[in-house]
Amino acid sequence: MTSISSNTPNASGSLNIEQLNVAFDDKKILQDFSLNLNEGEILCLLGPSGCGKTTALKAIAGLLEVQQGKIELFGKLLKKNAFELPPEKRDIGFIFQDYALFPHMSVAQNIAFSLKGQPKAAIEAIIKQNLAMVHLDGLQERYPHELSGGQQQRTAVARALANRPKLLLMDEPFSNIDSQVKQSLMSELRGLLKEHNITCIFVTHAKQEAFAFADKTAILNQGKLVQVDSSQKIYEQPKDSFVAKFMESGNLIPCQQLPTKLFAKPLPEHDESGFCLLHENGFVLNAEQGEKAVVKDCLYMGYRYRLEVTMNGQSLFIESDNRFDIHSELTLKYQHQPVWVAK
Amino acid sequence: MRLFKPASINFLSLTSGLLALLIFAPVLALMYESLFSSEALNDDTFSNLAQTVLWDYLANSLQIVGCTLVFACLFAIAPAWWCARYEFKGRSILQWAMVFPLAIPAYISGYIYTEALDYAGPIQTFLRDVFNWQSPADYWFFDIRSITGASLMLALALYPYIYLLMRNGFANQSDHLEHAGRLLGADERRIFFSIRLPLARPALAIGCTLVAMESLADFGTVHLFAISTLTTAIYDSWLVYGSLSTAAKISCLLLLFVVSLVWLESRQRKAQKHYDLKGSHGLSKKIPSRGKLLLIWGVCLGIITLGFIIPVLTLVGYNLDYFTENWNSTLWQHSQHTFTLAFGAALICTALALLFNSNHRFVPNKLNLAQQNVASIGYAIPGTVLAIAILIPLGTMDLTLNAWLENWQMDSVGLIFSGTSFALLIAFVIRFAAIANGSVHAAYQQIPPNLDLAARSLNTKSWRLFKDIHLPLLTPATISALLLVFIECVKELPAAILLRPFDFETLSTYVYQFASDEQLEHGAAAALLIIVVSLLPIFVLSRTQRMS
Repeated sequence: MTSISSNTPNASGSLNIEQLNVAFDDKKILQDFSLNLNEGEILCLLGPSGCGKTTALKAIAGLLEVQQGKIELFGKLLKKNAFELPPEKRDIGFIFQDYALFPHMSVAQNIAFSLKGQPKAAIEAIIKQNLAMVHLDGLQERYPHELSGGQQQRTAVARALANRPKLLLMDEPFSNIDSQVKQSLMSELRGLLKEHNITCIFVTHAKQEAFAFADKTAILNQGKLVQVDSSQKIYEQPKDSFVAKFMESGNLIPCQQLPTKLFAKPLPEHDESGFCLLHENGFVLNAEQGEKAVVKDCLYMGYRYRLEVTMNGQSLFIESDNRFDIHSELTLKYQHQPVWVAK
Repeated sequence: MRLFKPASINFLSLTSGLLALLIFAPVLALMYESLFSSEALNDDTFSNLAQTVLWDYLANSLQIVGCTLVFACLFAIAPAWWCARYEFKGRSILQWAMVFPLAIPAYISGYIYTEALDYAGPIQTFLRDVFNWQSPADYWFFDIRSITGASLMLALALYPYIYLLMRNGFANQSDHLEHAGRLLGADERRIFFSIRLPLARPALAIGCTLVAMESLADFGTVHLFAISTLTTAIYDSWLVYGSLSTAAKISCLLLLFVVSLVWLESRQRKAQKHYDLKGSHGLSKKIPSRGKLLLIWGVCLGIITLGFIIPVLTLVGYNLDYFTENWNSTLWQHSQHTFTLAFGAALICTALALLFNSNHRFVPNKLNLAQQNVASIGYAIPGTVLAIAILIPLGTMDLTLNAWLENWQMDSVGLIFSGTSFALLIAFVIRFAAIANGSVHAAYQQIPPNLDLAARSLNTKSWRLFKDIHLPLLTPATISALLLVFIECVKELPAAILLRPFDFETLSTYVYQFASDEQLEHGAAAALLIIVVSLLPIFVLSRTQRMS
């Protein structure tokens, strides 16, 4: 359905955000937040609770006061200095964590809300089209309380896309969905956004959702963007120890305590004050030469085991194909390239 | 979840079931009396009434309900929205001051405004002096002793029900809905009319049914203004024509309307459940513009002045003029009677509420829930109707008892049930059991069922579970139940007028006697007492809401 995608002059640089600053009562919630997004790209804003994710979304949508910064969407200025475009003129779709469906309106009325003033036939056509798009055909007369969580979310999607917004913002859209249906719903929604080339930012605190849904991930910590990259790059090459810990990328060993026997080749130059990241699946367990370690615990993880071992007085987690008894001895060798992580 | 063995429940269930039935019995007696009693079959007072004025009375009653609703909505809705939406200096005081008029019984305002707006009153005298009018024929002036006037008085006393419900209704609406609406292209005006107001509709409907019930049940104001309605017809049938069956028949007619209002209300409460969003944070406040602020203060202060300040100042004035006459031993004696009776009723209501609710907690089956609902029915019954309904069984009991005594050649004991304050006590208990029940019920629902299971797993016996776990957690609710019932009993007028024994007055009937004799000056002390007592729950409520 080409009707949903917006016809834009330039394909790249659909959303430009420069130096956004938001504060409540002198408390800085968002600091120098800058972001660029291409048309059709899906960005995940990832971070622990209270890091300012939702504030960032609301700032983009114009739902709260922004002290400083510039926002541009497909060449249209949304915010610059004292100028603020009111939210209803921004062409932004928003899906709230609780979906915010109007409880006194049917599914069809919810979807039609943004279409006021259009001819009746056109409205009915869009309702039908959007219901089909989210697979809710036949449910247009239902009320929100008569829908399941997943159906409510689909309704929210259909409503948000009804007036063809240029940008879709989603605030923890999957947090109220049962884990059994979450995966299929995510891939379905991603397919939909891709099919219609919709630019989207979504917020979550679960890295699995970033992996499954986003093209790009931005890590936010205490109001500041730490790293913006593909999800894989962020997971495998975190910029600093916060990102590594938040993404649970692997074992972080202070560089000064790194046993040299663990590595096959001599280590390259690195910053001694930082950390070395050792991925859990990068170890050989019974090497001829290496660092001695003792198994503390062995957990079955489905086809694989996760060992907790003590090496050199430090606790490490290691992935293994085989089971080991507690107290058994291992000779460890790290076969991947170590990743250096700033403090 | 059954926490008790069936054998141990039976006694508790049986007791509370029996009590619930006793509370319901007068309504059954009312129906029997109006349909099957020998008097009902032979007396033609009702058919005479029905052929002449009854339908006019009904029309008056309905007109009063309609007008009161219109006025009450006018007073309530805009201030409710302003207090929920805007933040400004003095809002927390203003939003509670808007509830104060609830403390002024409508018949007291009615009396005071009649005095003020009368031909001989200060306002008309002033106008005549200014414009040099000589007689009533020279000008038109609003006649307060009319259906419109009575409705206005009732609306001034009752609008806080709608105001409170609407204010909460607006304040609990999620900001997300407004945000969603704006991002979908709606401006503030459209958001108010297509989202905010429709979402507050159940609250409005509940408020309106409450106001409708109260205005339908009103006796004091309409009687004072000499407007014939169904309630005054019941009063006249019994006290003037002496026909209990006619009073019972009109009561049944009135009940028909009440039952439909109750049904409407329960439907709206169900609708409201769907409108409450899970995890919503409520409405965030905005700063009003200067013009808006002026409008808010102007309108709200105007309403409070009309509904509260003018009546209270007038009563204070009366008191200063007649201080020594008013604060006398008679007032002291009536206060003592009233407070003792009200406290007794409050104790019984609260005990019943604890019994019904713990019974339902321990054995949560439909029968026990039904008991609670049956026991709560009295609140919907207009005081006049309830009085008639109680007179029927108590009168029969008196007659039967005295007949027995005569049979056994003993002295008659007189009307020990229907002719003493016992009847009044029963009426208060039946009418206000629902208030205590509501308070305790809400608190019981706050106690997680797992607490009971935890106590049971620690080998706690049923009585100890109630005494050591439930009761301490229910203490605030129990106290507020006591207080609320007490206050309602002090304020109650129509049932008290019909049921009070000879030479016995409650504060309300005492004030009302003076008002209907056009001498409220002498009842002003008692009236102020009633108002002060009625203000108590408003202060308690405002404190608890501010703390939470």
